[in-house]
Amino acid sequence: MKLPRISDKNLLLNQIKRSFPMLLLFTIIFLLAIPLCSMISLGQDIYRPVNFTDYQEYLNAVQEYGADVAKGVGFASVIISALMGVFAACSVSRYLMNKTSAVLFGSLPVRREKQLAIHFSAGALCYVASLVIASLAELLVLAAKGYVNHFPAYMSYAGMGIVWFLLFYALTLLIGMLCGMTSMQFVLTGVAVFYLPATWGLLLSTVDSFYVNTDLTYYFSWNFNRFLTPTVRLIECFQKPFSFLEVIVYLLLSVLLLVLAGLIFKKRNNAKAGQPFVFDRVASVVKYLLLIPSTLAVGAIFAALEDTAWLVFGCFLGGILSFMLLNVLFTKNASAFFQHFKGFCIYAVSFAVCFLFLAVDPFKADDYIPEADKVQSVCIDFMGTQVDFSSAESIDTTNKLVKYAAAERKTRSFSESYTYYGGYYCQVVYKLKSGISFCKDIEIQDPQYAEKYYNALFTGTEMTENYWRKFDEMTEIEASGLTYNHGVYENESLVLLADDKVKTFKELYKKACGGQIMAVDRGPVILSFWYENYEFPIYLHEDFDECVQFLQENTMNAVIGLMPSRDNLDAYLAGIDSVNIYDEQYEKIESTGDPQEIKQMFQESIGFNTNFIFCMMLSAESKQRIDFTNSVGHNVFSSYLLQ
Amino acid sequence: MIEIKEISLDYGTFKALDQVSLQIADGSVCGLIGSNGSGKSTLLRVMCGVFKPKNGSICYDARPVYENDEVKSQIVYLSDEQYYFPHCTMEDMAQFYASVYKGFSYEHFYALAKKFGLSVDRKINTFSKGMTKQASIVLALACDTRYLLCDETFDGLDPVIRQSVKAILMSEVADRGLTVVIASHNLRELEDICDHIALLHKGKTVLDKDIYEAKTAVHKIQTVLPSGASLSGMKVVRREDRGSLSTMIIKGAKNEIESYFAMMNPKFFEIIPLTLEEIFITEMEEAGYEVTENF
Repeated sequence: MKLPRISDKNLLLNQIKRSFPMLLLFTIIFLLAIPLCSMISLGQDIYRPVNFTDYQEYLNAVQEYGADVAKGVGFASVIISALMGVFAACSVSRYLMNKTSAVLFGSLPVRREKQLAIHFSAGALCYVASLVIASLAELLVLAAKGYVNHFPAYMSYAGMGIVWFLLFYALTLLIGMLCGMTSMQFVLTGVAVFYLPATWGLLLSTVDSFYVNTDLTYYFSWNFNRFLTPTVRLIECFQKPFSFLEVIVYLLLSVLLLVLAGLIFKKRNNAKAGQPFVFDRVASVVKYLLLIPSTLAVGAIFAALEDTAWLVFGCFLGGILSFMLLNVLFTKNASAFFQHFKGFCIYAVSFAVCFLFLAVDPFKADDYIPEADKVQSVCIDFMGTQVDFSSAESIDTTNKLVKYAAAERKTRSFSESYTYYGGYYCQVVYKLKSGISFCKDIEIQDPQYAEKYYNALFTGTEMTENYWRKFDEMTEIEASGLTYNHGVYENESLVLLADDKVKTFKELYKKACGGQIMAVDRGPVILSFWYENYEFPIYLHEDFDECVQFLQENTMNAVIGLMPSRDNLDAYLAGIDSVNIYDEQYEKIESTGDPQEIKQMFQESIGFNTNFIFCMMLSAESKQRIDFTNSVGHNVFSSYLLQ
Repeated sequence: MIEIKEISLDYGTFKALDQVSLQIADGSVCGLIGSNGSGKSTLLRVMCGVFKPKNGSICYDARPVYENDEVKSQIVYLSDEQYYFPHCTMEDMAQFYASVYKGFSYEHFYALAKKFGLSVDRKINTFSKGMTKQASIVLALACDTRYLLCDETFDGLDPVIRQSVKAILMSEVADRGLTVVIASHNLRELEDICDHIALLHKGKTVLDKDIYEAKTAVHKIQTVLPSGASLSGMKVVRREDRGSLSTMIIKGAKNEIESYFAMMNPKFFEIIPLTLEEIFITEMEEAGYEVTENF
């Protein structure tokens, strides 16, 4: 299609004049979201120089904050731009959805391509004008607050916003050409944006209900969704700006959508204005496309009843209800419940055949275990720890584990086999040499076998060698816990040991372990170290006295307290000199140094369920904070009093 | 000339137009008559290029109208429910029409608005139904196009304004050769201005006649004939006897009828003018349609 040139300036000006309310609305939204938010955020005096020893550090932090604000409002403008694209398209194509206006415009001596170009241009100009106004205001705000150097950062987001606006604008216009009602256009735009990931997720979840040994939800990943919906990239804009190529691709895509919209517009029948759909065939296709996720969604709700039979029932119920509802919505006729029921019957039978196929699993896909020589590596996710294995021994052990788990499941009843009873659960991701990867769900109920296989893997040669190699290379030991800063509870990682202290600790720990790595089902994990972006646990056991003592004496930022039993409580509390109680605003309301009171409060604050305690094990549910402080003023332990 | 050839259009399973053919000469006033749902509005919308017919063609001087802005620039369509932009005045609408129709005359616009007593800077949504109709007529005529297609334009107008509108239309036809097509369900409304009438029924053209031709082809006669007089040589469409007085509708030329009756020496003979409604009822009955079904 040859895109029209807008030759008639008057027609365009007339359209812009009519779009003035939209321009006003866009401007107000942008002004509220961009300069006003900047002004409010930059006006907050959060950072004070007194908190920094170095004034330059303070200045850097302030500038960093300014950059964050510019980035934040910039990102907000990106999201708003995408939404405005949808709104603008609905607004400029609204005349096609109303019978009287569609008839008027249809009778005018203005070709449809020209009409589309004029309406499109008017909407785009309204958006650009409002963005320019808001951007100028943002420039003034940043300049006034001394952050003008962050304006280019904001502008890069504004540029991305324009690209997103055009994409969503063209997409919504295209959808509008298929619809005869603005509400349908709006809803279908949302559907078009989220349809693929939602359907993909529901499909995986449904098939997953049949495949008890295979975890299909593994394929529902952020990376894969990138190809299914533009919203993933939209959200990623916050961290990752567009490359030049991406800008070109998105602009070309917008042009393509617009050209398609123009082509459809030429075929559009004005008599269908006010009807949900302009083209009957499109309505049929959309109806069945929507029927699939709605069928699966109701099935998924019923699947929560933990039985695949309920899932099948839910799908049937969802299918028939959705079919009737879509019939009514798509025809605007309350009595059209069973229109085209023959089509639904074919659909239902197809679904039933698929379910039967999944239930019977004739190719035994759920039980598939690859031959060891075809496997490149396996990744085992057990108790929150992900470990990669690639040795033949480990892969062989993994295969045995997977095989045993599948066999054990078969010994359970039909409904039990589809239900997780909280046994020893892990996920195994196979990466084959062919490049394919898949995930198996493992759940063993027999603790003997669980220990046998898991320990064989996690204390095996490969794991031991890898673990100690990484352990040897670590430079810091961290711990994470709930902390309380500036009135905000945060889960924070703190460095407990570094440099020479780590070296000593490593020696002590290795000695305590006797060269073996500890089985994961013993002892709590309280420390960890990071290696190549992975967190590795350090299992401290009750009898690692030297390690614990070393930590007690040398950790930074926190004091490790060991409480293996009530007998040691007195010795532990001997190191605590005072207890301070603070209110919600962290204002001290009470203080005591009496050992008896300290002991009583300590016992009330912490039970004896844990073997180890340390200062960051706090409860956010609590209201009043209690700090137990030692003679040199360090917090030994903090707790909260429940109201 | 407007030439409509065998056009058909469906709304789903409903046949709105079925093989409609019509020829409308330039400078004429054509009335489209039909009951509700007969396809008048649809035909007008097809004629002005709003709808694309499923089959057939519509040409203005042998040029198709659909998606042809050159042809459409010569047509203005007045819908039964004319669209106005929200909160606009007549002047705003005039600006819009001026941006679309190159021949739009502000002079004509202001003159007509004054004639109807319409305030051009008042918001149209504050107008009464009749005033809104008048505004649409003013705007349409100010476009100075060759063809004016009106759908139920006289609905909602008071008798005085209706006559005034008719007079303006007639003067436009006379002055600049405007071709007017008016759709209405009321035959009497069009009687005094149309020179061509097409009757639509269930999407089909039941009749398509020039009014002069129709009027000269059918005659209403009141006569008292001598006993035993035979009318076998006349094409009597309808006869009603009240005592010795017979009222007949007869098809044929006036002079032929007069000379035929003169030969029978009637005691009384008079040719009474037929109303358009009577002519069409007669034609319809002759064509085999149940008149009560249509009117």
